[in-house]
Amino acid sequence: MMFKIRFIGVTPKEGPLTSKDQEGYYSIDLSENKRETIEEILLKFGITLQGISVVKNGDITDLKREVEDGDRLDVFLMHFGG
Amino acid sequence: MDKIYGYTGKLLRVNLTEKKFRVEEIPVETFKEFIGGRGLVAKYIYNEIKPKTDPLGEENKIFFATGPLTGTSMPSSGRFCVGSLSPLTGIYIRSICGGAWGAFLKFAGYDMLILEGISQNWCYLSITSNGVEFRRADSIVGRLTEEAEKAIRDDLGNPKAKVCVIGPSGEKLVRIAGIQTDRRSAARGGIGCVLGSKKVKGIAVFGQNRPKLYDEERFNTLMKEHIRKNREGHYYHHFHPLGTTGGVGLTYTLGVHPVKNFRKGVFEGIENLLPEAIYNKKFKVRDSGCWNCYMRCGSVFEVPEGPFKGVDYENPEYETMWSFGANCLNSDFSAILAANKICDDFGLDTISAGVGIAFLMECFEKGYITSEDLNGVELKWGDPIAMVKVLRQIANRESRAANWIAEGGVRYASEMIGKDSSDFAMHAKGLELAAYDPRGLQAHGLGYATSNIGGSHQIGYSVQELFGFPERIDRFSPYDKGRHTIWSNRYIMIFDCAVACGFPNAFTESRLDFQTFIEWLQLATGLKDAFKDPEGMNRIYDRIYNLERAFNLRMGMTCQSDTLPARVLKEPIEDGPSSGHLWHKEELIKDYYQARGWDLNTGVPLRSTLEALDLSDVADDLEREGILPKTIF
Repeated sequence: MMFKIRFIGVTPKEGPLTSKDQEGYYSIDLSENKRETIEEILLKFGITLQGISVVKNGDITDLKREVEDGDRLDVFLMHFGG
Repeated sequence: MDKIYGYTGKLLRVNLTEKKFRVEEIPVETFKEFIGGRGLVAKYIYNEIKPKTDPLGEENKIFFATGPLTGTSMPSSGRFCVGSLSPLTGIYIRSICGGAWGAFLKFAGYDMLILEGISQNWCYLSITSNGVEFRRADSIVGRLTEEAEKAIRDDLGNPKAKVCVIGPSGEKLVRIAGIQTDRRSAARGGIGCVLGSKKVKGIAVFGQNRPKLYDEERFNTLMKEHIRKNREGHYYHHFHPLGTTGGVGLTYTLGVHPVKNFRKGVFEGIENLLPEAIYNKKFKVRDSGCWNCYMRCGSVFEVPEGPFKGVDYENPEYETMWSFGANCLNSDFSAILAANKICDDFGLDTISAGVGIAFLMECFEKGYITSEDLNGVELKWGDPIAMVKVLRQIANRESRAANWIAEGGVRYASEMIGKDSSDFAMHAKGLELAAYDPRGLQAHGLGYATSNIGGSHQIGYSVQELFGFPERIDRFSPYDKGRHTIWSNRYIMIFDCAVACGFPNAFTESRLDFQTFIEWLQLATGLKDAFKDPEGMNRIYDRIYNLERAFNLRMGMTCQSDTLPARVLKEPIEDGPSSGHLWHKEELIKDYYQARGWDLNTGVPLRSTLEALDLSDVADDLEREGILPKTIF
């Protein structure tokens, strides 16, 4: 199962970092039967959930949702404007 | 009077006409009913500003207020709230400012400062525990804000004094002018214009008496732990380097980062304004931050070359990244830095100024104005040099079209220009909208439309739609949004009354929220019965909100202004992830009125609602003035 993940304003500390594509996405390949939540994926990158929002295929998503084949995930930080 | 903790219990009232001042007690009941900060501003403005007051006349006043957590060991506790009758909107304005000024007002012995009347000559005030000294400002008038702050400190011979000032724009009564201190702004609604109308260039405060807290030891232990946990946390690691300057990505990805004066959702130049591009430019030279704050989310930049070459540029916050960025189709980060600096130097609201320029760009494109109206500038979309030139014109009231923005923002400019320009004059109640498109964030739009100050991003900040926090809701649906917007109204009230900053406290590992606010308040004030539980606190938040609403109604505002521009009601966003959507006024507004306990036809709080909030006297006022709806049953 393949999905893409991008970090904007959030710096991953570790994890399965490959090279980024032109849009800044990392491609991640999970073994076929493995089901993992977004929360679990983020932890692999050393990102705890506090103050984190994730956009899945163009809309805000619940971090407890499982990642699906072909997903595009964008990871951001919450903040008030200013 | 009972022993009071966390507050000084005093307000300083200054009459500029007579050059007199007096110190008054603030009853402890007022703190119990209104907490502090925005609550105090609402209480006093309602009582003291009468209908038909001229915002720039002698009868208008400015109310500066601190909160019970001001000047404590809470991170960024130097903030203050300032309110008045806005010369931009004609209704209530409250603006919040960072820095240290609020803490030092409190250390001088005052929870509040009220300015009345008009000084005969330009002056500045020096406030200490001994009261007020009125000092001439002839040699300081005309100076840019940071120079003026320094000049006042030098004149006083006190380098530790904290000074808030207006810039040249406030002096020229530009109605989108704000107040500056320590490179932070109380920007919105023309507060700086009101200070200018009173011929006050600045206010210096200095004191050393920190009010005692009820349980100081526990409060400080709690704050130490709050800061330690957050300083070691991941949020700090991500947020500290760029602050909100790095925040453009989320709204853009959702298609709610308005592009080209709210016409589009896609902007080819956006990549230049995302954090990675900003890092790659290597313009950042150091961190900056507010007094007593671990987060230090500010940055100072230098631009080494090009038309905006310069040093000592403070970071633009998220709203500014947008107002002078995608909203004007400008992808030049250095131009945003320059525009931000001009606003800081002259004392201008970056949101209103940027939205004003985008509006003029659209008018220029449509041929409604020409370069003759702009002293020869061809104000084309995405031209950073033209953008900055027109910004200077607004700051100085220099060209015909720029002066319309200076005189009353996009609402006034659209009245001058005519045609269909009011359809795309992006404001609510006269205050320019911020960096979130209501068509893709229905509750956020409801926050804009019903906010007591007009189109503020803060009053109804829909964290549910934008972040999925504390719960994810359908951002395109107009249904059942009233209660969510009220939740947001209450949430921001915590920060406005404390007075606290969201950046080091809101989304961090250790958080200021509904429950922790009660704990912090109790430790600071000892008022355990008044600040007891979330339900009781909600009554206080709603009391403040309804009082602000009642003030506006008495100033002549009606439910007709609980709306947004025709552009978001009738024109779908052209492209991007939120394309095709409109903002659904009818469903949203009725639902909000219902949830608030307001009359569905007039948006006036029902007597029963006001009485439940201990505002019977306000209901009586509204009834006497023919505003309160008649009770049918």
